[in-house]
Amino acid sequence: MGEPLKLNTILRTAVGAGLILPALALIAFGPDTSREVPPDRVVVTYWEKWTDFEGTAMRRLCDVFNDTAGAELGIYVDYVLTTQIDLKSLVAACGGDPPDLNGLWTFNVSSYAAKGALQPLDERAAEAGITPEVILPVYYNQGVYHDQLYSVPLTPWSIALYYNKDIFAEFADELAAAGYSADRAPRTMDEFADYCRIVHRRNDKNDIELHGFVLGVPENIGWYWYAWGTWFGATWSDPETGLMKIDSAEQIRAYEWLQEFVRMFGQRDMIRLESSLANFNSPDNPFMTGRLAMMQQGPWFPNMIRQYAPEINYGAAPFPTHDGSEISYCGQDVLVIPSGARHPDEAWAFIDWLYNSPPINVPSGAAEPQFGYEYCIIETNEGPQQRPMPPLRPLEWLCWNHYKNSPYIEPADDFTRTHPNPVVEVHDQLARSPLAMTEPPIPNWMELRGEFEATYRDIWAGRAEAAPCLRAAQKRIDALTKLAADRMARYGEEYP
Amino acid sequence: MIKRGPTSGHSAHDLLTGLAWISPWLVGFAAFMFLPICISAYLAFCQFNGLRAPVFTGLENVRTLFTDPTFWKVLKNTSIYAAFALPLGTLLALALAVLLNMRVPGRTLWRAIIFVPTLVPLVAVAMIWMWIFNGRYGLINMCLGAVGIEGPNWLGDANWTMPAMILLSFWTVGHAVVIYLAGLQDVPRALYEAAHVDGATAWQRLRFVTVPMISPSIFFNVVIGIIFVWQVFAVPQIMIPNGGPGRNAYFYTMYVYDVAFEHQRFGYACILSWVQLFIILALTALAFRLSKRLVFYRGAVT
Repeated sequence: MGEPLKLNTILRTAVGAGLILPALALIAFGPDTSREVPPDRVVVTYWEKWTDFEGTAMRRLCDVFNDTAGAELGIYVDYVLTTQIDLKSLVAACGGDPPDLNGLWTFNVSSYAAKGALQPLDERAAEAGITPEVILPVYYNQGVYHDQLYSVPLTPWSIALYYNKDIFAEFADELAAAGYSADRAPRTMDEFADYCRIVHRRNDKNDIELHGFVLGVPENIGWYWYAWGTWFGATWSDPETGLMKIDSAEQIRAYEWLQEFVRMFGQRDMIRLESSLANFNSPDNPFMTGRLAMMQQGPWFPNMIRQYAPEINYGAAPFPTHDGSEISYCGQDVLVIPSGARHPDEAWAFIDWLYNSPPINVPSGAAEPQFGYEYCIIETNEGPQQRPMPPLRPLEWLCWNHYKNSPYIEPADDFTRTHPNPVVEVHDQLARSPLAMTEPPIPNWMELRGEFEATYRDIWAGRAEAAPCLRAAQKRIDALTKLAADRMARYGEEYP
Repeated sequence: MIKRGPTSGHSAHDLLTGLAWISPWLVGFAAFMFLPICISAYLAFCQFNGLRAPVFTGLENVRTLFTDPTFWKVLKNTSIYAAFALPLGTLLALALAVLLNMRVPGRTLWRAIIFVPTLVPLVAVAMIWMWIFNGRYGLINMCLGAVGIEGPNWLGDANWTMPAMILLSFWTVGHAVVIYLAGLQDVPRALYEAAHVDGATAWQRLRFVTVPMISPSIFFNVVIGIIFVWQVFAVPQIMIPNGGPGRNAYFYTMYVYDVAFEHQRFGYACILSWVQLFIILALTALAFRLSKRLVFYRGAVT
């Protein structure tokens, strides 16, 4: 006869079973993530980086294609969410197994194209009417490297100044005393500094309670630190040689201004403030919590405001510049077909559909209302009215759902009129500016930008004066540029 | 002519049988370890971006090392990190192990508490510590503030990023503590009793009994520690990519990763990796050499 079971043994068995059984049940009866691909279809593997509302919209667009044109053409687009897409795309290309379609950022294009990782799209694009006559130049040109087109625009953006109207109103008297109006955003850098100084407020402990603007470091809030020079008329490259240049008079002036700006509020206090600021896509974003009066952001920002702080009374305007001219910084997500893709024709068929399909009227029932797909708000004589989303070309449908502006020179009438982003016209206007700027097509842009970033961090932290810091960085960049040029020369190619 | 003994045929058969049995491992090792190592050795002398055929460039990558300021920067940073994180971590782990080996209330619970952090995924560790180190609302600065000390901006101040990373490295001392605890269980009680009879103080018992007796465990942890500190990567990469202000927390493996995958200079990344390997090998060899004088193996005493 066996020994009686001890309480300890029973407890251990129960805990073990309590952990293992749910795991087994999850495996056996959990959600089925396998996909059912209709038979006799060519599967186009499409890697894309978007999650959240942006991913939902693109998945939905793929579904629409698969149910309509895809069914007729015998194509099925398989949307594969891919984090660190630029890195994984390269590894896949090196391994000889790239996806058929890839959603990259513009700054990847020249780097990938220089390595022979992308298929030229000139002929296909011309046939499909994706030409400089149709697409805004700043967006079309971003896909061009060494006179060949390697990417087509997917969702474009431009950077604007977002400002909190209520904070401006709170300081209306002080602004008026300085000769400004609380009803408008600052236009020049001098005005910008004044606005920041006026709205700056500290608490009893001398901690910053309210502040005008923080450029910050990349991992916190300062995504666009490298574009700071553009507001002062600088470019990233020498116009004659095309080589990266960060020690031009304009760049030095821009970062000297920034250093002065930081010192005006106390270097240490500013760094402390910046380190306490939450991620921009969260309810704790200081702009949403009313601790920051102005922010540098793209057209996706109003969607986040709508989700996290719909009560905020905000506006958008061109970012202030040294002389008040309408300089803008633009970028976009792009589609490319990697070299070695197994189904390039089918991948292109999807791109062609995005650009040339008749307007789609996506049924609202399957959409996710929290992302605003089901309706749009239109300003009428009776005030804002809720209306069903209008039919739009797939590409504009996507931009609309991403809250972004259109890449077309002539967007659809309904696009702007019904757009859910109340400030989309500002972004559209900036994309059309003759002074619209974007990253130069430098094959080792990310490498050089890394060097620039290290320099910027020193400038931001006040570890060194901007001018010598940028000049020293330029020397390192020149050395890296020479190495890159030598590498390309070995393949008989010209840098940049 | 070589004469085969009467058992040669049998031995050859045994050898082949043995090889057949371990062939899955051999094939795996050859395909996924030995071959990549050989290819990496060749690529270290090539220009290679992963997509085009490698171009042999002789010693150019080696020459580039000497003129690459970032290489020297990461070498210096990693050396500083190793010089502090490894000895301080070893002392801390040893101290914790000795404390946990005493008859203290809730000993099992304390042991679990010390070990559990090592089970937390590195990404979670990085995210948690980003908040702990936050200059304004972080836990450390709040504690310092409670006693009237204004804490630094750990991750935003160039002078404090390295100390922050060294401090963070202590988060995972639990592994070493467990090994030391096992070693401590193995120290004969009789030695302590003899020392006690001889009038040795607690410190003397630790110094002349405990440490020599667990010196093989210390040696093992130091060798493993050398490898780990020289390969530190994931947590700083998540917390302060590019090394923060002044690149003061930019470590060797982070640079290798950036060169390979961000800049697609696989040839240069290979030479960097080989240099890293040689540094670790040299330090490990030094540790082995010192171990002859400092490590006491009971089994070796006759």
